[in-house]
Amino acid sequence: MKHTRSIWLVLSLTLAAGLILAACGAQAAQPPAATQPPAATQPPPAATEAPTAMSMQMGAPIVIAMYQEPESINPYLSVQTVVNVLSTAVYDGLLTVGPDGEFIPVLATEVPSIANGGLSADGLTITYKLREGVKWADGKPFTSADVKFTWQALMDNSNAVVSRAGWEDIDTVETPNDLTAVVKFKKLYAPALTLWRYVLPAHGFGGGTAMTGADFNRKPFGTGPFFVKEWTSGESIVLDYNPNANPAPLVSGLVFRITPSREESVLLLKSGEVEAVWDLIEASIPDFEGNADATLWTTPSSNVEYLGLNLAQRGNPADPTKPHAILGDIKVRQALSLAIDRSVLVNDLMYGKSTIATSAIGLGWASDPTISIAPYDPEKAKSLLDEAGWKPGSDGIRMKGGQRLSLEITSTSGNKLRELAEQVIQEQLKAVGIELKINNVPSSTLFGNWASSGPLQRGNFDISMDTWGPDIDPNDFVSILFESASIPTEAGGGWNYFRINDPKIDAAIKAGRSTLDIAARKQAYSEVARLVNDTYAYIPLYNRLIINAFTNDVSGWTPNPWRDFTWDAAKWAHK
Amino acid sequence: MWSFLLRRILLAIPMLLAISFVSFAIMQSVPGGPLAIYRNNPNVRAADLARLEKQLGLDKPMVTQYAIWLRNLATGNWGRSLASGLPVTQMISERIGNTFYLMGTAFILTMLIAIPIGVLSAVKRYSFFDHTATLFSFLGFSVPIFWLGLVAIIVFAVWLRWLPAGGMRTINAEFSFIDRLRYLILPASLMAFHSAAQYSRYVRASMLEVIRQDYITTARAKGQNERNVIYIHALRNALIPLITVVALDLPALFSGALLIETVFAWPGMGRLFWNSATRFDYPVLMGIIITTALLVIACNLIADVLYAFADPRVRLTAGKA
Repeated sequence: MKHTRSIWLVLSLTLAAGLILAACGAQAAQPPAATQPPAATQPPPAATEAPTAMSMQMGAPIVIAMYQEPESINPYLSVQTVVNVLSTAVYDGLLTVGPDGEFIPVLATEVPSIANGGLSADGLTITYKLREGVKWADGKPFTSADVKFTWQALMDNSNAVVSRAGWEDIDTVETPNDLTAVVKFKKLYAPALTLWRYVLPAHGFGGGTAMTGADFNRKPFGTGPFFVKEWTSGESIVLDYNPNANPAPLVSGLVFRITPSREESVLLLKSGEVEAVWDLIEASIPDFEGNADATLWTTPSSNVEYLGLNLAQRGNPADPTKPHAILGDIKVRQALSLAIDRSVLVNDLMYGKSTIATSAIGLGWASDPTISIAPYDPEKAKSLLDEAGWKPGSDGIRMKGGQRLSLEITSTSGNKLRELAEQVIQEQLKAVGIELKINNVPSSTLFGNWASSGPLQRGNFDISMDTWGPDIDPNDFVSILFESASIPTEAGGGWNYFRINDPKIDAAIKAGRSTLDIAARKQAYSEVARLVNDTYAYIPLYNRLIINAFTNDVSGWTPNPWRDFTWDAAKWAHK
Repeated sequence: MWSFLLRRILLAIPMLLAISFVSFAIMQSVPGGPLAIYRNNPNVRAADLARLEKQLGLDKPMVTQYAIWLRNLATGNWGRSLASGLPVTQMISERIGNTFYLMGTAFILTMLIAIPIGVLSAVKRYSFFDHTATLFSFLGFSVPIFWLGLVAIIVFAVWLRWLPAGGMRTINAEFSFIDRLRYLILPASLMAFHSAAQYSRYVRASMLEVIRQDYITTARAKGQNERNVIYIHALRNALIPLITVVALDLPALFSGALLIETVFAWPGMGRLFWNSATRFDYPVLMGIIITTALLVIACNLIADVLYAFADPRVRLTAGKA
């Protein structure tokens, strides 16, 4: 009996140790106060006169499920969307973008333009006038020094900043007084107004500009409606309301629950443990039908699901000087586009919630609604293939000179919607005599770089299926995707994996980024989108949706395709 | 005994080196890499990628990167996550307690279920009880735990709303034992059901082996009552082989169970490993692998030592490790 008793002793000690460790773990999540700059990371809610009265009027925190954990809450150190979701609730920008794509001043008093003197005629100088009386969550005043600091921190070489596009074109940021920031560019950067989407506090990083690994990234505060109170790794991020925010938020906080998957998030909503689910996919639409407690919000995004056709001779690497054996003929590419009935994708796979895509730039000021694509016409597709010399073979698949009209489609594996769409397209192409073989690979392989033999980079594919869309300023998007300088090579390049090499497209993209005149830019991007459609190397399929769910107890959210989920979190409330 | 321990500990060093090098090499050879998520982003240009590669030290040859990692480890520096910039030791210490709390509870439950069932099954071999226990243990083996987990969530959290669907505690609330318990019930009992299915088979087999031994017959012949025969003479000896099995499973108390943590949104080590793997966060992955490797080696050693204590027929000698 002695022996078994000692086993129980060991076991109970194990449990005790476990509980102690769990308690230690909980403490470890809150770094000791000594390691933090005291004023910086602990914004005292007592900074306002009547915080208690205020919080009494405020609603309880809203609990949101998200299927990813942010790497940090510093939007300049990560490209994760979820980092932007948190950052948008914490930081303000000089300007934001509204649902219709219009700039709205936030920390600036007005949108700089030539008319109001904020923009110089050559577009090289932008003067931002800043709002008076704005305070950080810790009570310190917001000034032009913070605007300058944000640029300096991004240019600090010790920081692993993910993109310096535009920032490195800045020559100086002058701060003539606390409420004026003058940005001088070395050369014209057309999307200049999209910089300073988030302004970081100059006093947040211990006086220096080193951001990578800083404690602040985990417990940040800004001028936005909330600040981060507690982050428990793998479990939750608790945001408290910023007592200095203007406008003041209507709820006393936001609680983000980190879940392992979207499915788990939906279960938490159904079990009543969360009130909102961020970023769902189309497959969730039937899940919410007939659910009286929650509403699924679907809004078109600027992302377009498209087929990317390889114009160059396929190989590892491809030879861009020689045309693709099958897709090199524009008639075949055109036939491919005509043979796809996009309404099946939209109605059956997207439950009728989406729309047929007609252009690479489908949303925003740069989009041109007059651009259309030729409608579904399998007969025309067949005659185009006949013209191109592809005649039906014994098994229905067309042949030319002993070669079968057989192509491979590749996309990211594990995406149910995409797999179904591929199968639909496969059937539709078969009806006109084109064989399509599906070969999906993990996204890390598909988007792998040149050195790791990424099939898109190397041009080792026939047709790819992917989603991509422009930001409110389409410059970076069109130039990385369609400009001839972006054709991938061993030395670099971009994501023109179609290997489109069209001087007219190059000229239109260049025209778009050489001026700040919005009418001229609009015309340039309309031309880019038209010319890209004419290549039939980029075949738009349907517009992707932005999908979020809220229980019917929560109100105040307005969808905005240009900004992250939390862009109007200050207006969220309980009914 | 001491020379045996010393020898085993010294042998562990080349083993750890080999494990770490092979893991490092495999990780680096997988297509993708830590910069993969930036590549499909129009704002991250080729110049940015080249700069990041240099800043994160990814431009160096694999062997050099390994040497740097090893040198840092030797000085107690486990490195920082490529994704979050946090120290690896901090990321692991934030999770390991949570995992131990879940797995430790599940382990105790497992033993509480498996040992009595195993013993009874062996004593009443081929009885109705034995057949039922066998049925359940095969269910426990063969039904995927993530499926059981989802069913349990739908029944107990979504339909009945008795228990939470996931997580470890009510966020933003004071610590409460009952609250912790409510979150623990589903993941721990499912985990226990799953492992007890295996352990009860071990106990049963081991028990059957023992009750056929001569000393059990001797004990009965001496007029010992059946309770004493089973629980003192038989069980004690039957549990000896279990020491090895348990000790080899002990590292899982810290390394976690990916499936159950994923289904129940438990903030443990399994999920940390998975997230780091999909993000190609080499330093974090190496940190977890080294921790697990150390635990496996240590538990193996402990198993051997305990075995020697429990079974006087086993002697530890430096010559035959």
